[in-house]
Amino acid sequence: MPLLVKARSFLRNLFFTRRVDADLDQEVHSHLELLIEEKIRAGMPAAEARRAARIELGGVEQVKEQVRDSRTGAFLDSLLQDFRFAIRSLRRTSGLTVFVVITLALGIGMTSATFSMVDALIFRPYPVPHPSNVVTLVGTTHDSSYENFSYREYRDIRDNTKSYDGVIAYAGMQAVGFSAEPGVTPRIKGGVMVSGNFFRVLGVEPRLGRGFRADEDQVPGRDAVVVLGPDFWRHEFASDPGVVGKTIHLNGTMFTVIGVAPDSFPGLLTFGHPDLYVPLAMAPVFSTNLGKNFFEDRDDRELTVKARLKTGTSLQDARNELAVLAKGFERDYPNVTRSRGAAVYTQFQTRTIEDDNWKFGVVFVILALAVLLVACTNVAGLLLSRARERAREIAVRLALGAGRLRLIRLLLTESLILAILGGLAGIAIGYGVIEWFHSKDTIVFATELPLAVPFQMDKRVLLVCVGLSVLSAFLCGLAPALQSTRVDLVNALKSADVEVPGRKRLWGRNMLVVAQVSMSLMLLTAAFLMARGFEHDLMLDTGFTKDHLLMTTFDPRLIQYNATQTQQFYKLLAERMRETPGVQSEALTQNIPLGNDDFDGVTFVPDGFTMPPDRENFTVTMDTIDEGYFDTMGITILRGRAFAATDTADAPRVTIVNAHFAKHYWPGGDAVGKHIRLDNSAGAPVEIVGVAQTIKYQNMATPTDFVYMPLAQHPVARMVLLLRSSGDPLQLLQPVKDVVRSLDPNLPLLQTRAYEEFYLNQAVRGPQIAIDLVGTMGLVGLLLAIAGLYGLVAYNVSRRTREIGIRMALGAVSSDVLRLVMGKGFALVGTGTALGLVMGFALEQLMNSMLFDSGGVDVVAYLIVVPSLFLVAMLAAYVPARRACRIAPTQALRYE
Amino acid sequence: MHGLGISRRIQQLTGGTFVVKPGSLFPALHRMEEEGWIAAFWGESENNRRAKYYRMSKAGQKQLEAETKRWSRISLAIGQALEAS
Repeated sequence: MPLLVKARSFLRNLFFTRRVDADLDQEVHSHLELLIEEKIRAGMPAAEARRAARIELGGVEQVKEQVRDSRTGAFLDSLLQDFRFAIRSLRRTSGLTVFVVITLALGIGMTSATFSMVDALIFRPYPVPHPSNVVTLVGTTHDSSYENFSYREYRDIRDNTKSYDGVIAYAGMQAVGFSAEPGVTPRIKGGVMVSGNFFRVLGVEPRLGRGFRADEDQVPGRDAVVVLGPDFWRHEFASDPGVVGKTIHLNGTMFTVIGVAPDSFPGLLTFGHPDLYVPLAMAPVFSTNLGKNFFEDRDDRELTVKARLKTGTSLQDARNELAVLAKGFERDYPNVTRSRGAAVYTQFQTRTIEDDNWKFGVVFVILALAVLLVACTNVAGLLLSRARERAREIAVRLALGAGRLRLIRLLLTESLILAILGGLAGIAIGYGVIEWFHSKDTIVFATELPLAVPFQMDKRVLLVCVGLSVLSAFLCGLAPALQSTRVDLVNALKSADVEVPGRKRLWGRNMLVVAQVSMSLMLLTAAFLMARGFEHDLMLDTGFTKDHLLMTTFDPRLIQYNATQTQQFYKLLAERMRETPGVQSEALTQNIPLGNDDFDGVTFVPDGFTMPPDRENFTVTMDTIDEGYFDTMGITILRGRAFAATDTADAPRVTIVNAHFAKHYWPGGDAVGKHIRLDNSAGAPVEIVGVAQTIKYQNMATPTDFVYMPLAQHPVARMVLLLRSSGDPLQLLQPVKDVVRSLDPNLPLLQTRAYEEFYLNQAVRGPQIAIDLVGTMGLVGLLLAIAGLYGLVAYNVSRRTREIGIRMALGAVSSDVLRLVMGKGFALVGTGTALGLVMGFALEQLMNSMLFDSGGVDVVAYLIVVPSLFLVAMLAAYVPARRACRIAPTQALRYE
Repeated sequence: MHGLGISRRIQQLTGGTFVVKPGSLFPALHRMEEEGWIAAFWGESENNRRAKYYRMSKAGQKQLEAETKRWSRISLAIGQALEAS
């Protein structure tokens, strides 16, 4: 009950301020009247009584103020007052306000935009109910802590674990040939094979129809059912609610639509939004690995396994359970499961281990935060000098009895308003940058699969913005507020110049200069290093030619070719293409260098190589190619020979390794003629017939071991055709189409484009955007730092005008004075530089360990940046000092 | 009873030991009103002047009893402590 009464008074005080105040006024006045009356009755003359009553009351306004202070919600009331006052005073100095807001907005905007990357790559929860229960189960090996499981392994895990409410599995998104009608040339859509319990365990309710039933994932190839993704349903079926029950064709097989996933569930992949979900049991229609049997081979590891942890089961229990299971696998299937462990990861662990891109995001955030810090020091400097100008106002307030805390609160309110305005503008900037990421030309996914930039201004990013705003309000506002309220009242009231040259006070501003210089130097160092790292990667000779190449991808599985038909198709395709006029040479490869897809791995034991005691075999990346590849790509064969038409399926098995590989395993000798054995030391021997030049296989990667296998001996379904043209490669498009039509009119050409264009989108644009981003941050940081540095130093010197006047009056010459102030500036910038170099060096170490070796300290960068900062500081000190020297001592002494 | 009346009454009852000045009186009265211990209303003084009157509420009665108990306990304790020393 009392709480209710209190709440009522609180609301009354807040909303009926005028009425409450009028009531109070009346009450105090009537009290005064009563007092007077009392005195008169006691025999005082009227005038005397009035005086005595007023003295006893002690001032109507004071009494009223005391009552107001004691009211419920007085704090809020005074806070509103602070706000009103702060807004008034900020409007008076609107130029400064705008500058400060823009400064902070740049810092906050950049941080929010970069944080949205980290958020999307790491923090955003899975779009399912209770996402924190969902853990990822992975295999581990010597070389990797993130390995998929095979179908058999998944089933064993699913049936033999007790820690989970359900274990699901799904394969990566793959190209699926979709056609609504039979006989129409299929179009490529992104499909994901999922286990029958996928939707049920994740807790995703389809918006239409139903999810899969467990029995639909039992018999290989029996239940051709499909659940559509929300976007796919919208675009391809115009949101038709009657789609459930219809049939569509996927890779030439008829499937029945049983449901549509809800909008809230765009899938579990970070970048991709699958168009279709099909049961794992339909793998015969989709499986990628021709050499393996998806349902039987324990080493056909294509599945990501996730599970929902039972409430009350700890992660450690789950880990122990899985470790025991993995030991069992190793014991029961030593051939395919040697030295493989298993691990259970949380979402955070999964995201940070499966993909390294988040590291770039983190470095971007660090850089953006540095920009924000520079902005904050700038603003702090500005507010500090503004507070100086307001010193008299503040002194008057203090003299009139304002509490110091109350004044600090007022000043902090001002910086809070600045920070909130900056934060709002910053959110707008961040939103703009994120929109820019999303715009079609910025980041191009050179693929037909439904990939999208996942960066968003979501509530976590907004929260970070708000937090940063408040934090920067304190960073910028606290020091000036503390300092300006710590004034010597007498001095302050006597003159506007309250400069009491105490060490403590100067120390604060000197600190700002040092912080400014060091921070911007660190920022620039990082920006330079980062940009150079990416540039270095771009400049690096890829080792192959990119121009005059047409690429197009075939996947005969889309039209139900078997392995023999596929082989026959590629053989005919290569032959016909070689005969086509305008085609200089032809190549087939499983993956193009710097492409979207990861290279396959090959597990082997090099003959004659002493294996480390803890290793059974090695795994390196590989590519499957035909005999035209090296020629077409312009990759030099350093020793031995390229593949030839004679390396047929029946001929002895051969391979070509890269120079890196050869040097790795046969450092002294010649790798040609040596053998590697596949899988383990008892495996089939494969002779190395050539050593190819090491090229760049993947972006931002150091040179690695690489192995080539001939297509005839290592059949692959999905291959890329590369054609070298004499003229514009796109002119070969029609001839290719004609040839393919003559072979099979139903086979679609996928990802047909000039390789050079693909290369630019794929390998150049990303680093270029990163360079732009980092460059912008560095530039903004430098400009802010220069502006702030100039302002601070110039202000510091101009405060000393009177001192300079005295020195001059006492006989100092202007060169002495200049030396004095400039020496001071020099010392400060020097300290800042030293600090900045140390921080830059630390950051460089961090970046080198996290991202790439950018090749040590960039001397040129320092040679440009350090002197320019010195120059700015010198100029900033020189101009006001010069002016101070020029004015007559008499004037300077009067200077206020 | 109006504010001045309360103030005078206290002065009277305590033999002039406690003189409650308006600067303490009004904040205290308003606080107590906000707590719901007393109720305020406008009325006429004996000389037909408008004045704000205060009356103790039920909650105020309870609070008074509680405070009185507390006070007598404290004063007793302090008295004992002072005597003992």
